[in-house]
Amino acid sequence: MGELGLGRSKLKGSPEQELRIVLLGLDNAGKTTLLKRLASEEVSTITPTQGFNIKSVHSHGLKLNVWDIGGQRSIRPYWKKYLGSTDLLIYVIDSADQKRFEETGQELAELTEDESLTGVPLLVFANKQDLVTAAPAAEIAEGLSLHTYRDREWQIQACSALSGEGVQDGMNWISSQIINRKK
Amino acid sequence: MAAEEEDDVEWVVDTIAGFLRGPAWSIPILEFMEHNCEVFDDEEESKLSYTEIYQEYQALVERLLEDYLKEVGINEEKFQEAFSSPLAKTHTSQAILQTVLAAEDFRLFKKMMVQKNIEMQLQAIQIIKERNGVLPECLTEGSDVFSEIEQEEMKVLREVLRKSKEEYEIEQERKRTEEARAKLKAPDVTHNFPGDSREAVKVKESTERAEDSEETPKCPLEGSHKSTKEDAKRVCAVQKGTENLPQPSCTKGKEDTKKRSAGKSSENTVQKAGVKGPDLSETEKQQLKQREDYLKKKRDLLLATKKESKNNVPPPPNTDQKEEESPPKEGMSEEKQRLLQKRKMLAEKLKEEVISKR
Repeated sequence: MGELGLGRSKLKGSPEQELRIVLLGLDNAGKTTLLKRLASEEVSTITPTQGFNIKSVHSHGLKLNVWDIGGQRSIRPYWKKYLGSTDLLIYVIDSADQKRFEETGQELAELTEDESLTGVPLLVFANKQDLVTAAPAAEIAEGLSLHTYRDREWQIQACSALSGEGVQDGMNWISSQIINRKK
Repeated sequence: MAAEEEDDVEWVVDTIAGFLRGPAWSIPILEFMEHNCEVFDDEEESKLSYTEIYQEYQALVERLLEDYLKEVGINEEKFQEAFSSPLAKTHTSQAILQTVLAAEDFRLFKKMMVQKNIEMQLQAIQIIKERNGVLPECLTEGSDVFSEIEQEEMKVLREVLRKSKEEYEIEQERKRTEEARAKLKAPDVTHNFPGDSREAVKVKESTERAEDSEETPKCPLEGSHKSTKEDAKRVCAVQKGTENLPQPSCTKGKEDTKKRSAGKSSENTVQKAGVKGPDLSETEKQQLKQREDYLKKKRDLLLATKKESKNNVPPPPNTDQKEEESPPKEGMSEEKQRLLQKRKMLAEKLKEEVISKR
């Protein structure tokens, strides 16, 4: 952006601190369901996202502007257009879709190499824990080699966007990250 | 010292407000909105193509503002200080502020573009209605069925929109004329109400209509009324088809088509007719072409009228004049602004109702 500071939210002067959070992951991982869950909206009628959704979530005195971008293969090349000035990345994984663990790992690895996300904290949601075939979060963390990430804070959180279980724990981690960084 | 600083801020706010009201800002911004609003719908989910348009808008706003600030010698800090001061809200209308704020708030931008698209669609409907007397079937049947009540609502809504726009324009016009008159002390300033130009256009339209209706009954077998209707239906189907394409690449293509259409309409028509496929007879193609030409003419006319009315607005008084504005007048116009705001909100509500009923 140019000199005027457009895009850096300087003109609005709102009292609340605003943060930009990008929500990514493969198609059918449950990104939009999670977004709606975060915004306390109805999660029963969600269709595959062709474009993107934005919602503001208020948490711990912060205004989180969450961008959920469609995860279909054809849309993934557009992801990088949305990464600029991101404060935090949420990556959602369908824990029951073992066949695509490798694919989702590759996409995440590619994302974390992107310049605009350097040092940006990462929260991985191991979603769909309500399904009996879901892999535990620890197993997924290992599969993604999360422990090798040294240049950023990361966290993996088991959850079910459908039931809401574990979602709040993830939000708490996000808030603690932001508050820690401010200090 | 503090008072001096306040004066300074006020001067900056007034300068910028004057610029934002003037044609150097409003014309390119409005043109951008009119040319890009077509893909914006009221769905909760945003299309990927919005992002590209949004980035273009950000660049435009940034360029316009930067150029102007450089010209008048206001630096970035002063601008931001002025813009976030409470004065900015009282010295400019919400609608004007919105065009700046939209450059850094995607959701506000989307709202603004959706609104513009609805406005343009309503105007298009109005034109079709004026020409045919009734709405073509494609706008009254199928998935877009309007009950009589809904039609009545549309009528009311259009009336409200038109009235509020007219009043706003007249109000703005009067304010400027008054200011200019007070400044120049010239008693013979001609009132240039936008209504005048509209009248002129109406006359033009009706003559055009007359010419056009002479041409229309070229198909000897069908009743001319029926054929016109069917014709319109087809054209609308074509338009609908293009509108519904969700791919981001289609915006580019459409833009190109539009640019081209500004120059060579015949080429554009041939191209569009070509898209329709080979199952059309020559007569049908002919009719389609006629209709296409007509609609294009109308759109051009609409844009031209808008431009004209924009150009007719006298240049905004420069800042020196602004400072001498007497306070009581300011208060009065503010009250009227509030009234206008109320009307606009009503119009918005109506709009929302219409949309949700579709």
